[in-house]
Amino acid sequence: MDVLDAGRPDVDTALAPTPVGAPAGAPTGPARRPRRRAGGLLPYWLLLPSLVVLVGLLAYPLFSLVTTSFRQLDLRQLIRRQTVWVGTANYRTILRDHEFWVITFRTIAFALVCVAATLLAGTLVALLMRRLERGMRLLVSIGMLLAWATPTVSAATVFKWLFDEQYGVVNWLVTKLTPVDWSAHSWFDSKWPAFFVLGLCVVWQAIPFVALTLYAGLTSIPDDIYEAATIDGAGAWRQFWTVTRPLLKPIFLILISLSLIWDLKVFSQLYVITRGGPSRSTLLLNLYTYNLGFGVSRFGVAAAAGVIMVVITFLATAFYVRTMLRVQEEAL
Amino acid sequence: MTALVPRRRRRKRGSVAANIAAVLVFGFFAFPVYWMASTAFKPAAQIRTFDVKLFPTALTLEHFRDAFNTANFWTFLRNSLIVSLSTTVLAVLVALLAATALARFRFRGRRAYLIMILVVQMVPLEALVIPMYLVLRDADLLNVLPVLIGTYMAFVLPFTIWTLRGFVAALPVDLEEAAMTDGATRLGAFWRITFPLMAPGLVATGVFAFIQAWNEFILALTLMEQKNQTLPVWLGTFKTAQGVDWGGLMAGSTILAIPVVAFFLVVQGRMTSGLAAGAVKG
Repeated sequence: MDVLDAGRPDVDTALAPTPVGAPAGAPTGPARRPRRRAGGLLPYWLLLPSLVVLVGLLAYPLFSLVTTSFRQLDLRQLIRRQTVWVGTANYRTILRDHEFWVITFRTIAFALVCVAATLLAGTLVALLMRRLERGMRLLVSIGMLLAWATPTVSAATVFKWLFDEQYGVVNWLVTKLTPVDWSAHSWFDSKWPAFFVLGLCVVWQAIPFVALTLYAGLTSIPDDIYEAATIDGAGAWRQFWTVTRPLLKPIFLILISLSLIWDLKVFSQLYVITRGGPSRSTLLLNLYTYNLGFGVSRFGVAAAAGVIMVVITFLATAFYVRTMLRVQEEAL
Repeated sequence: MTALVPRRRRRKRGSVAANIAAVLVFGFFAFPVYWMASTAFKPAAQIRTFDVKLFPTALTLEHFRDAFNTANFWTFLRNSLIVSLSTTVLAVLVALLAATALARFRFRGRRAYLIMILVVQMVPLEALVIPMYLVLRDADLLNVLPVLIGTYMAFVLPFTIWTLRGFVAALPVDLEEAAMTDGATRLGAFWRITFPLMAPGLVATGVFAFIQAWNEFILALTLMEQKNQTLPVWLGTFKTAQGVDWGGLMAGSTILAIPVVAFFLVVQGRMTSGLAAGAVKG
């Protein structure tokens, strides 16, 4: 998985907002600015279709989310198509609900744990890839690609099967290879093992992007720096700390932000693996919101929960946006 | 200044420890995928058994057949294909227009637009599902495939625009201008010179849009009726009357995964051959 060399780990590429599924590589853009014409009205015409789609289908629903959160929109109002304004009642309902706070805390904690695990493992894999010959490096890349490419619903289903109580291969391997007998060990009967499986599924798919991006960053650090450090007597750990880490810091920060955004949003894996069970103990914020709406048809309250979710996500990613804007100042 | 000391390779490439680690890492990532496929092809007797076989000793297509025969499977598959392909084509077209504007022209509001594209990607789709559902319900537009395509377009568009902008910006302007001084019109120059150069970028971006659309779950789950959804929803809600059919589930997972894995492998080749998946500096 060769990556083009840009001379220094380029923050811009890693900064490109990428949903799951997009790798980043060092850019090979021209060294000079692209010359841009003043185009009169033409650029506006070109932008029009995208604006229509984005405003109509993203901005408008967002606006509608906020207004709906101030309405009482339960089944009765839904059927009768009534508009009943209740001010901040929905917000008060949610914020007073003890379970909401538990779930919010749980969502954030789960996301943080996943991000930490992903970053740690991703860094280790990237460092490993640096030490490998081309063939073995390709092997690792292919493995990661398979994990990355697997649709989340497929992955979730497979992990549910891997950890099946009776016929799952994990239980079988543990029983065979260790003195522990797990031939009927349930992973989904209680919160912590269930979260472990869920987290493992999420992290398994999240590591490849982080590892490959970091590897791209690592390869753009010239060897000479490491040579000089070695001559100066720095060992491997010291070199990592004083050479690698500062140079890769921008990429690290971006990866942390992106991972946080994605891991706060985990839905399909949760829906497939536990559906929030057992007894709502693995319920996370987005499934909670979904259930409020599509489960018990309390759309006003669900909208309020949705707004809160948006706010939390924005707060969590404010750093990312700020960094992006600052770094992109010139390029913009 | 450097002495005549021969340069030593700092890192020992290909050390035994590293290679062992590499194999373990490969195993960690590849095993679940292997297990998915091998279960899909295993006869039922080898699945529901305490005597787990790591390698199937017999192969069968019965699970795939069962999957194909589930109610509405072909509808779901057809929907997924229609929606994903349409979303991809439309999104790439619209994004190309926007990317050209952003990369090639100076105009007021350019920065604002770019910032909007960035910010809009932060909004969690799960929150937007609620107003989308309500609005469409009021307009009696639920369970309408083109509408689903529209919503998918909205959610793949920001990333598609951003990526294509990088590709377009990386193309040299001079070629176009040279062609124009030779007498070609701007449109002609674009079509015959710029466009072919952009082809790899268009393909890569298109494939990523396709993958996102293909995998999408929550919108299809909520905006479409039960009998008319997409393949991921089919898989996520797959139940049979006789308890859990793991063979069928694995067959279904494999079916869902095949196009994506195939495309992914294709695009990875493209991705490494000179591109910027994002902003290009300068």
